[in-house]
Amino acid sequence: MMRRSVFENYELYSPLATINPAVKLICSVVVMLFVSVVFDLQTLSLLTAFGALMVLGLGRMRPVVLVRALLPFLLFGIGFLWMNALLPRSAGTTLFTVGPVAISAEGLRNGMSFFLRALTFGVWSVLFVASTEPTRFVLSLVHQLSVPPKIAYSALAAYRYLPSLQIELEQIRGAHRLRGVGEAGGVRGKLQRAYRFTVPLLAGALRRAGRVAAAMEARGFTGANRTWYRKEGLRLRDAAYALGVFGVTAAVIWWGLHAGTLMLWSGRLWD
Amino acid sequence: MRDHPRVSERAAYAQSWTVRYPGTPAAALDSLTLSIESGERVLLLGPSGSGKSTLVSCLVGLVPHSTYAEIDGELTVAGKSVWDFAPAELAASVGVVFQDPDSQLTMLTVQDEVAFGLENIGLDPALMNARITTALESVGLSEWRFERVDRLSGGMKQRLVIAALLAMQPDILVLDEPTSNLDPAGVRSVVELLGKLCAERPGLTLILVEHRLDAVVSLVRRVVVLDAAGQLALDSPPEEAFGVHAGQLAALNVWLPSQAYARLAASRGELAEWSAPGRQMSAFKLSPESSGAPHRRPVLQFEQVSFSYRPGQRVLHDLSFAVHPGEVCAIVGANGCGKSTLAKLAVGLHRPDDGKVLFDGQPVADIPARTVADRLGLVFQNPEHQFVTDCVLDEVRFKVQGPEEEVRAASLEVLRALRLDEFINRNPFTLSHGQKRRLSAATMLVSPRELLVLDEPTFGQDPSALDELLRMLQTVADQGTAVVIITHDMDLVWRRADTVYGMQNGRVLTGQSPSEFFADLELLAQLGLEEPAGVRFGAARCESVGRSEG
Repeated sequence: MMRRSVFENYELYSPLATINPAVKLICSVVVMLFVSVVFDLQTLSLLTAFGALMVLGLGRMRPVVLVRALLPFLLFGIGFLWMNALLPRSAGTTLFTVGPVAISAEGLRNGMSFFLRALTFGVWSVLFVASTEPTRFVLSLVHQLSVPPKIAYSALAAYRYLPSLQIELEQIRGAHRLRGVGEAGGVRGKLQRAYRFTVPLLAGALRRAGRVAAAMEARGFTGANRTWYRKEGLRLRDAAYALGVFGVTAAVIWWGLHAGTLMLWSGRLWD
Repeated sequence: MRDHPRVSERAAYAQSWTVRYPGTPAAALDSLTLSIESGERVLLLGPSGSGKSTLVSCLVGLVPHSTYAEIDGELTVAGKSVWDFAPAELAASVGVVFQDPDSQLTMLTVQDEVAFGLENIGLDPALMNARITTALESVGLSEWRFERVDRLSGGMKQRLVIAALLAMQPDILVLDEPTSNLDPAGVRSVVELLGKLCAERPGLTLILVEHRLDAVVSLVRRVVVLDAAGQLALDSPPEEAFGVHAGQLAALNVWLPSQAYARLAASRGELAEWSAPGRQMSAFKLSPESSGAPHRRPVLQFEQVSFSYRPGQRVLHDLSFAVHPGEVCAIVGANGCGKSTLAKLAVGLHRPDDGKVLFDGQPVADIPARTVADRLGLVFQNPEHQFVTDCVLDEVRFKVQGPEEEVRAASLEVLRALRLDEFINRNPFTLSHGQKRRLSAATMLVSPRELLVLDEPTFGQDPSALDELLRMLQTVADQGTAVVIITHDMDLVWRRADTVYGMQNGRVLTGQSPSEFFADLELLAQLGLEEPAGVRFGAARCESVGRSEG
């Protein structure tokens, strides 16, 4: 059975999908870079909410799908929250105790901040991934970000190969199980199994890569002297999108500064 | 910008063309001299390893430009020497279709795929729309122009590859086994397309490597045969190649059209054997109820089995059937009918949602991993998938129960029987494809199992592989192993199956003997299957039997 990859959820007809992929990528990356140095809960929640509203509104994504896509980030974030709440770096004000464990206000706040940061990363990644047609992304890498066509098209070929890699792994696993492999437990057993899966997978992947390269070359692909059937251009709406994202982010920063709530990274991970 | 290739009278011309890959003692192609005129339709034949694929790679310039090899001689394609022109420069004049459609497609949608080649040769984007429309029309994919490539069937993908090449308006089209990875419906659609191209484009030179000869033999005017040493063995019109030279071709281990094969078999007095259904000599008889002996208890039993990968999407519905010791049972049907899922349930890789899959009376998925390898086996299409050790001998004796010396002796004997005894210390992955397949068979033969499941065992194989498989099936069935074959190969079904189960939309139809099954033409059409060659020559068989008796 074919498994669906994240890219297959893209909503082709949403306003967000019409934005130039390179612009969308840069906007998401800038927001994420900024978020990685922000520590206060207010700024983080505002930027998460802003991203979520964009995905649900401009991206036309159903809330259920968004939650499902965010699940790994949520779990990751909850892990952080739990760790920090339980193990605060500095003894602080004890909020309450659960049995022998004291939960401190500082630990909880640090945990929340890690949790929200994971969530912000998640939302802004989903925003890009779920609204971007892979082909347009590749074209825009070439046209706007000057990535060499050879590299961009190789990435596309690798992307197309991912689902069949999964199918192949499943087949190998099944075949090995039927030959009676797999009882050996422990680290050694696991390593042995990993080795046994890797060799056939790699052998298959290399052969296929050779075939793909030969076929592309025989169809005249060199990466140079190409013309383009579809060209990814920059339009007014792309500028509007970038302005919108940066504008709202700036407003959030300005408000935080003004109200004195903004906390940036001060060279320490914990205060 | 780009010079349009000069239309030369000669599409391709090779003079003493020799190719030798590093590390191999024998040449892949040995002083080949051959001239193909513009507009000719050539069928290229040869046993596996005869250099057919090497010649294809040379014709499009991949050898010598992308694959390293020692080369001698001259080869000109569309008036250009392959020494001087790289594949990308030849691409506008010569297009190539390979076996596996998936590794030839680069883009994600149909129209982007056709545009890809046009972009590569630097065509003005303003001209692309018209070219894409025409190309998709000529292969019957116009309606799918905006569809995603991964949603197409195998046959459609292969037609898309051809469309993408046609859009580039090549003078020469080279096809290397274009149908061997397709299901029967896909084969039909690609063969129909080839026929249409031959009729509509008299100027197009067609060089075809194909073993489904019945379908394509009427399209070609010339047959070129290479022998195992990579030398030219025969170059003649098809009537002669498959007429007076049929015996020579059979000796070279080359496929023949079934008509030629039937004629050859008849002349040798072997027609009756070839066209007879099932294993006439086998002890197994259909309707096992009739013999109430206890050993007739089924090895594998499906009881009202239903299965789905995702809730609400049922793949198998209410399946019931049984396989008995020594029975060879074939499961046939169009792609996507649930055959491969059935194979996984049969060996316990999946558990049914409803119903039971019983192996020797107990749920197959409950058999402990420790004993499963001794009792049942699954032969995948890709033999590499089941290799678990680093050396050929270990591979065969892996998990075989018994005293070490005996197991070693038995393993060596099986390896000798399958001509693998000189490789016992090699890593399985370094063997040739044919050797890998034989090794995978050896692992199944070394100790008799109760059940063997084969998933598409003849996919993309040459005639000797089929014969080997038939011999192996004979051996295991004689040992009392129950065999389940999932296949598209109707000749295999006709020649070896005891029972045939047609499958349609996740349901399995009543088991029938091959003679009954293939007599029901309506059912065959419904399942999208073809009659095996043996059935088509049933009349000839009766005649020859009559003659030999009279």
